Amino acid sequence: MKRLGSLVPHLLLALFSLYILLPPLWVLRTSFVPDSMAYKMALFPDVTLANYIKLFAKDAFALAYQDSLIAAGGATLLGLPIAAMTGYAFARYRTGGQASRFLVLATQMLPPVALVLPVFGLFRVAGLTNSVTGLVIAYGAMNLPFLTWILMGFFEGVPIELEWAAQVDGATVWGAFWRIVIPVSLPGLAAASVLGFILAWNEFLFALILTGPTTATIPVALAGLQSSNGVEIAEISAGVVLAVVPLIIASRLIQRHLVRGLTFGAIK
Amino acid sequence: MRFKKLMPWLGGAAMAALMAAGAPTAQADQITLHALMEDVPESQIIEAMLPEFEKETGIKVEFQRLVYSEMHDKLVTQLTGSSSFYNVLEVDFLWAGEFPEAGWLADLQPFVDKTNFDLKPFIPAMMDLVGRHKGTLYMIPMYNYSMGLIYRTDLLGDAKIQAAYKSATGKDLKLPETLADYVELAKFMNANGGVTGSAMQGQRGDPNSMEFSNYLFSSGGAYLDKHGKVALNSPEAVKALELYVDNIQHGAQKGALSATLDDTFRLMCDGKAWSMVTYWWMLPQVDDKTKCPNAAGKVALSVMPGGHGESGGWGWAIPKNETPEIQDAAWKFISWVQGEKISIARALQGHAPVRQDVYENAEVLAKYPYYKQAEAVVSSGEPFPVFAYSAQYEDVLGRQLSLAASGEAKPADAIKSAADGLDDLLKKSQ
Amino acid sequence: MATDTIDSTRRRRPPPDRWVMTGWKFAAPGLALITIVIGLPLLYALLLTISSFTLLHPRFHPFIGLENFRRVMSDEYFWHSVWLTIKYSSFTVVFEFLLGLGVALLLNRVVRAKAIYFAILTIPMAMSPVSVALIWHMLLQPNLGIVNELLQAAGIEGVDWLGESNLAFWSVVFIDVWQQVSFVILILAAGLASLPKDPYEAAAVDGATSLQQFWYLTLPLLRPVAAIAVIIQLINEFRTYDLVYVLTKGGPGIATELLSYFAYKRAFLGLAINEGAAVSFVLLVMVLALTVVFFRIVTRKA
Repeated sequence: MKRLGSLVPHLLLALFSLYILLPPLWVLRTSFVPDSMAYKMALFPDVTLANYIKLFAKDAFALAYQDSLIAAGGATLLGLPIAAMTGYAFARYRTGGQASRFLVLATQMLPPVALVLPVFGLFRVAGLTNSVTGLVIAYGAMNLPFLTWILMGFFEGVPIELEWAAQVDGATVWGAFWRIVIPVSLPGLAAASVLGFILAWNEFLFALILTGPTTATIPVALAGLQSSNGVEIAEISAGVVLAVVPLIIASRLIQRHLVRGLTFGAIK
Repeated sequence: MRFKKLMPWLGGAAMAALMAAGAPTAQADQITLHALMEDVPESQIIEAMLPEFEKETGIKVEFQRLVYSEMHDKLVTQLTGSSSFYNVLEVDFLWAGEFPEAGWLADLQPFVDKTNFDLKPFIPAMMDLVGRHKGTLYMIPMYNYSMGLIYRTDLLGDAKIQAAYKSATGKDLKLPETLADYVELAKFMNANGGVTGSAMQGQRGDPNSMEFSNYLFSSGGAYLDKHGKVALNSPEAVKALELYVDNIQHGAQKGALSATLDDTFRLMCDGKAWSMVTYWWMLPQVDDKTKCPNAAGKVALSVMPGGHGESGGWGWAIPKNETPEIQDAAWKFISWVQGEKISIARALQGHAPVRQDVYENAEVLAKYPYYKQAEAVVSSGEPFPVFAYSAQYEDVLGRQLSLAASGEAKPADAIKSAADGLDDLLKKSQ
Repeated sequence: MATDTIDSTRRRRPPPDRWVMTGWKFAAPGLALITIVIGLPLLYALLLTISSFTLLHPRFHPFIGLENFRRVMSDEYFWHSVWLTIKYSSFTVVFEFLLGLGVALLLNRVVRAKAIYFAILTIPMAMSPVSVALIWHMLLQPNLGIVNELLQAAGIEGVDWLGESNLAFWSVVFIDVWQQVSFVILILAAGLASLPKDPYEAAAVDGATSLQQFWYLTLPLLRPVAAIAVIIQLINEFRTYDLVYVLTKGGPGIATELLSYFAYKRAFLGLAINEGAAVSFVLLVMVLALTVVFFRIVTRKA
């Protein structure tokens, strides 16, 4: 009976995994197939590495890769601690009341289209256009509202007794925050950092507008493959595969922290 | 305690490292021209020749390739600022009204006069489309993408199909000369030929507006009359739309309503379509043995049945807000790449010429005999309305076409709405 | 369970100024960054909505008050987009939440292979919306795509997924949910993992069934995290634009013309940045209202 109990969830999860996995698997397959055969039903009519080679040789993909890594990584490194601090202020101190919480979130509600020209103007004045640094700052700031809200939610779930206990032992508020609240909120931090990284990694419109040929990120590079000549779907598939791999690795690393967070959560 | 002290340092160090990594490259003394180019073979052909230009003039030219739709947004963002990163512009004919009216382009006539550049060889239809706007020369034509009919010759020559056609309609199977005949033949092929009759691009916006324009012009319809007033709401236009709807519903592939150029190309390439109304430079793409083994050697080009297709093309321009030095360098490039020598060199690699002399060059014709039809296609083309809101009109018209094609609007109503939409936009740009 | 704040549960109150200041100190860097990088452009965009700024006439003067809003709201296609966007966001968020909660619960139950499942989950999230759209366009191609080919192999006639008006809408919903559900799962799973174990042990001792534990313990305890997941997704879905842009361009007809795409067209095709900004702010107000209402409902019951 117990065996069945643990089998059913796995079965359902396996089914769900298939639903998620089949399209990417087809993309993986297409990336190794010449573009003219991309639409054939056969699984591997012809295996080739040509798409990957073309990406790096002709389309400067390596540079786009590097730019994406710096932009997304930098934005997450910059944004996560700041979002944690802001989320903590909102959760514990009700800083700015309800109004500021929603105002902060409201900045996310505007379609990016409306902000593109003003942001471009602002960054041009600051000399940050056509640079990856500009993207780091832009993404760091743009992710803050969501990350703040996510972490705020997690902090609200942390019992305040933990912080009191630390303070009774002589820690300052600041110390209690970094030494007690943060470690206990690792699942939330993990989720937030993965989200932040992914949002920055996949962002397209601002990358398009704020970067130039040498500072373009992966989404911009991939978009360039949609020529009027035809959508080079096999090459795009290769690009997508390459774009997804670091994220899976990153999430793997984060997930280890998630598991550790589970044990922390049990301590009371 | 340690955290408090450490964080600002960590943050600062991270920022410093990022700044170093992300800083834009230092300025070089030589002039570098930056151009935002559509990622098509035309750009690739020129890109391969850039080192030659640099050797001759010492001016470096860098291309950045982007897909069409994003090009516009990126260019516009740059041009609304005080100085644009892109100092040589590739401008699509749909923007050939918008860019001059916004005041972004420099007048090229002074440059032409200064260097005695010969404009006579350029095909008049092209100069009207991507050269002069309201009398001023803002652009030099770069290449054209006028539309015609690409079709399978082997299917027309197939005895079985010929017999079936004769018994069904009483007529001989041959290349249609009117639009109505074309639609009839496409529907026949769809039903009996084992292939899609006409691979159509029904996606709303640029795809269906461009394709429909061919139907409109070939039915004797027009968007504007000689005085620039809206002439779309005519019986000819309604007939054109009725034929268009008929074809897309009965002569085209499944899913035509959401199909784009890429979809139709793949169908044709796979040998699964008899014809497509498309950009004539698609012919060498389909006629390629390595890419399209099922169709190569069996396709040909003709003017749109009915006699007039849609003109299309790109032109070169120079931003107004650049230093005279940069503008001169940009002009050097433009006059070099559109000069006779380079144009012929480009044509030998598959460029779609905008100059008469290139079409008539013996070497070019020897390599590409179908350039004869191509020249006919280009010279007989008529333009989609070129004004400040051309791009938006594609969307307005596209919406009506899509509604008619899906049966949600009657052709007469759709044409009326499309005509009213054009009128509104024209008034707005006055 | 009321959210613990310093003032509500602390026995010895410190001087009010001190803890207010502490709060602001924590929030200062974040608020500063947001204000400068997003706030200023937002004000600029707000100014745009009452100006005559277009791409052809890039100047604010003359200011025309609410004229842009009037122009936009007198367009029947605007209201169609509003209604369509509400419909779209509602369905996507509901599907994402239900499916996401189900999978998160399952993940919480299993002990082994969690790493594999999480890795799989990140794949759709890891793809940019443009990539997702291009890939699905390839899969759903009516004549050449693998989905229809498989259907035909099974004897079912191929479907025009993106070409039929009604179907196109649901296809886009499906694709969006496919991509976004992972995020909801991630958040909810993290939330479930953070739940304290004590209440469950106590409930088990009291003889509560799994279902009762779920209803009376899990759901209420998960509320803050779940609410945030829903709110964030609501905001995301309202802004959907890339999928429409790549897959359907608002068609067929107007079946998928979502508001964000409508704003884009006004701004970049119609060159009327001022009107595009006006549409964007209407969107913002709608989402803000929905979010506030939702938040109130969810936190009040606690």
